[in-house]
Amino acid sequence: MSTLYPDVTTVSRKIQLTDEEDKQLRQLSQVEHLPEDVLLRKWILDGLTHMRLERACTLYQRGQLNLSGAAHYARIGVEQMMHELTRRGIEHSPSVEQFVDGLETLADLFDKDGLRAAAAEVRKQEGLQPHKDTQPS
Amino acid sequence: MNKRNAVLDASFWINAHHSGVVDYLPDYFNLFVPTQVIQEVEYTPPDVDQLTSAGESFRSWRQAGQFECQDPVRPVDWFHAGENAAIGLAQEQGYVLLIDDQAPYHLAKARGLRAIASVDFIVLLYADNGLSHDEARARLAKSGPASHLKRAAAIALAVLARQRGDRDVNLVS
Repeated sequence: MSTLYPDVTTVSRKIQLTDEEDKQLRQLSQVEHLPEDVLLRKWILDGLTHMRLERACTLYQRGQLNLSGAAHYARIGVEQMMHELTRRGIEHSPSVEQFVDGLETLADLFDKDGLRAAAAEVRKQEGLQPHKDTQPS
Repeated sequence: MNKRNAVLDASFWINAHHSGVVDYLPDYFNLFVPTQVIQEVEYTPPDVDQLTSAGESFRSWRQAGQFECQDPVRPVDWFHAGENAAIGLAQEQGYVLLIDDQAPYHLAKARGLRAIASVDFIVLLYADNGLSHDEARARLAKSGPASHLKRAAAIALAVLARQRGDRDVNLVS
C-alpha cells in the first residue's frame, strides 16, 4: 500500500536517466514546485493516455476497432473519439455507397420517389453500381 | 405517415445532435435504445466534469421518455458492446438501424439490415420540406462528414431541389 494512494496497490519502477536528463528534471521540479517523483508520475500518466489514444486511432484506421471500441480502448467518450479521428484525418463517416443505400432505404420506408431519383443520380455521378432493383434486365 | 421502429446507435445520435436534427426523429421513428448505447452516449471520462452537449440532450430525452430502452435477447458479437446491442436489437425486432459508424454500418447492411446515417436523414428532411436547401446544407456542414460524403449529399440535394422547383438554389456545389 502507498501512503499517497491508500486504497490501491502501487508498485515502484526504476528508471535510469543521464546526468543531463536528471539535471533537467531537478530544474523543472524547482520551477513547477513539484517533487520529482510527482512530476515523473504525471508524465508517465500523460504518456499512457497519449499512447492509448494513438493506438486506438491506429486500430480504428486498420479496421480492427469500431468507434465505441476505440473510445473504450482510449478511455474516452465516443464523441471525443470521433473528434480525435477527424482531427487526424481518419475517415469514420459512412461511405458514399452507404449513404446512397441509406437514401434508398428511406425511399422504401417512407415511399419517397424523389429520394430514389436522388440516390440514382448520386450513384451515376459517383460511378457506383446501379441499385439492384433499377438495373436493366 | 407511418412511423417506423428504429434503434439508435451512439454515432448517429452524436452527429444528428450536432447537425440539429434530433428533434425531427420522432416524426419518423419510434426510437429504441439498448442500455449499452445509453452508457456510451452518457459516458463521462473520470477526468471530465460534465457530459458533452450530445450526452446532455440524450439524457434529457431519456428522462422525458422520448425513447424506449430495449435490449436484445442475444447481442451479436461483431464489434463493441454498444453496436453489438444495437445491431442485435435491429436483427431480432426488424428495426431500422440508425448508425454513423462505417464498419458496423457495412456489416449490418451486408447481413440484410436496413441502416440509415444521419446525412441520409438530413436529405430526407429536405425532401419532405422540413428543411430549406440552405438549412439542409448548413446542417450537413455541422454534422462534419468527410468531403466525399458532403459532395454526394450535395448531388442528392440538387436533384431534390430540381424536383421541388427551388429555382433560387445554386445547384452547383
